[in-house]
Amino acid sequence: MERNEPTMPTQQLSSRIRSIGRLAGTFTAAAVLVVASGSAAWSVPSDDAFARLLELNPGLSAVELEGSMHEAAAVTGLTYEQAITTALEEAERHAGPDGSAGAASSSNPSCGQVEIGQSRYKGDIFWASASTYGVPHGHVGIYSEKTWITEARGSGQNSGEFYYSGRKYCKKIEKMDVNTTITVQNTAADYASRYLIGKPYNSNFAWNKGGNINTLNCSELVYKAYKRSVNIDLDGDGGLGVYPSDIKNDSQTRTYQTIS
Amino acid sequence: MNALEAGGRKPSGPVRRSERNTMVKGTARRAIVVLSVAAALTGCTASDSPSDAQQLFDRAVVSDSEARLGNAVMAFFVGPQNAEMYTAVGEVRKPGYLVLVDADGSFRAVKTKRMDMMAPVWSSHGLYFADESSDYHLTASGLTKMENVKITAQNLMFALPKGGAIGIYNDGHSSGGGYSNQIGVVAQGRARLYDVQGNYFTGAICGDQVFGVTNRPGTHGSAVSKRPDMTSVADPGASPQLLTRLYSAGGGEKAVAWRPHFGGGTPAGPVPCRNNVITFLSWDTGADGREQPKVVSWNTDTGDYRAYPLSFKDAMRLDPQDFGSVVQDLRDDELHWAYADGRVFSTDIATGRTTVLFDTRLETGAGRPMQTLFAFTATQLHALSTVHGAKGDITYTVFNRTNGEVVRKVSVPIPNTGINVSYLNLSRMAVRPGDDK
Repeated sequence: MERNEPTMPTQQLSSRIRSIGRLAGTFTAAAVLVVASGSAAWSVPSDDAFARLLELNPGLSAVELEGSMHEAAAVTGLTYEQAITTALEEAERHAGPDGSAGAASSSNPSCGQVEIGQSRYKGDIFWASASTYGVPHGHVGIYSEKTWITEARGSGQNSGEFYYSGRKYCKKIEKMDVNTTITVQNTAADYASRYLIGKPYNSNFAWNKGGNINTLNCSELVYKAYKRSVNIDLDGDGGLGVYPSDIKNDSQTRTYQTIS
Repeated sequence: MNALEAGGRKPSGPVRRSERNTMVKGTARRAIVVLSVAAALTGCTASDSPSDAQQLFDRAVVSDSEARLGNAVMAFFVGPQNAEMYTAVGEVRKPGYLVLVDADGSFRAVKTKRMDMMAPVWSSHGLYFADESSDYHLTASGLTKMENVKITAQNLMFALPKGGAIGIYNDGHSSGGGYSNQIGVVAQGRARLYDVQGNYFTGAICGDQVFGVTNRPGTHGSAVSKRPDMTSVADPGASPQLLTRLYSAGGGEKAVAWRPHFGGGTPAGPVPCRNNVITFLSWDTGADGREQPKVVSWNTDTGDYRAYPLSFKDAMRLDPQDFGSVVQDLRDDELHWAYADGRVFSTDIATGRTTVLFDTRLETGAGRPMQTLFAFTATQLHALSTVHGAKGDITYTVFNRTNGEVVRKVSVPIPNTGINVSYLNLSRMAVRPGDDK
């Protein structure tokens, strides 16, 4: 348990169990269908599947990925093999040009950068195209105040807050609010500022929705700010991982400005 | 919670530590082999090669041993920002470039390590700048490089009147609570570093003392957390604004005074100081949540302040978003400031009455088609402009500060398309002092 971290409310915990239960139930139903149709989708994933998932989570070691898949399996009720298959399917889905954890891409390795500006409200979210070494991974962040942006840093360093003036990101940038009240947004932003800071970077997008906040990546930070403080789930497509584009595409986020 | 609670399905079964380690090692080894082959086949490593834009700057680099101020009249920095250094792919170590520009637009560069928003400063003692590993002092006779390991983001920098410089770096949220900045001191050929509480993007140098103002006060905030006169009714969680001494030759950090402004609407950057009073614009948010742009004069000795709402002859409205990039300087009792739409205003610091001095037509800031860095000197306003993604080169323009007449305008042969692209963000500029006298 983190220092001063509030415990998850019972209602939130129950909701989480229910959603994971639904997730597991979906997987079960899918597995039955697959078996009935004679497909081998739930068969033991090959080394290639594991390697591909690892490739789609650059920065993550094979040992870390394997450990996290065991954890995901234990939490969700999937088998280890199902967890890998599920996470790979999700990662592949996010590996497009607007993707989040994507594979190596032949797209232009350079992007045009523009200033992001202020948000309308505290707790607003931004999404930006982002690509490193040709890997389109996307980026998402939260405004801890209308004029302040919270950003993660490398392992062993404290996360930082940056004044909005001069902050640049790759085009295209989308700024969005959450379909809720200002008070709720304030609560999520304050939670991010209070509990989701000073964390080393987590390179694991395949399973980043678990209870651990000892490490965080960008979409995990935004997701957990809303999920843990006000029980709003911003992972639009469900699954084991939350990717930057999941938050952008979630029905509860509303884009109010696009910079392209 | 176990798997049965979660989904009612039987988990795949616990894996004993010894078994799991063996399995992890086995799969990991196989995965590494597969990935190595894949990388070799797809040529993944080739994507780490410098972009065309980076190669342009690389070609302009002079070695540290050959670097001189020479005839440079202006300097600026391009390099990666924080989000490009710490990515989903891992930590990226792309260089930055301190670019020296001569009066005819020709340029050369000193290659540096990373420093988000590096802020070079130029005094009669030379040009000072810093990266994550070192502090630099460039003069007519050469470059001195002093090791000083620090965080990778800079907020501010000031040149000391007797030589040397003070840098303020954005260290981040402290593990024990609060928020720390690093203060980098370069003096008498030596560099050192110490921590202060708070996050300062606005600051001033008053003699040999450096001050910062912020509404991110770190642990200093506990001093006023229960003061009714420093609590916002509209947003009880918001902090008032703190004035802090960050450096002095004879002492260190000291929280000087607080002001009931409860927002982040104070423009970033250096602001002027005269007779130990700093003067700056602020988009103030009162305890009731009402917002109003003001000119503030804050005495660094007594902590007393005065604030006057800006007033205009016409019904002009300013945009809070455009306020963040305002560049300010004092002339007599008027605060001159360059605004995001390119206009230069003059504000009477005793009344707030504001008039337009002239229009540079050079815009900057979010949502605008170009970025312009402004810097005032005694009689001139200097501007370095780039139009996002446009054909042509970046432009350096010098205006007469009184009437807006263009004194000099040159193209710097760096294409607009080669700046504000990946790892090459235009951050801040410095102008040779005395160039306009």
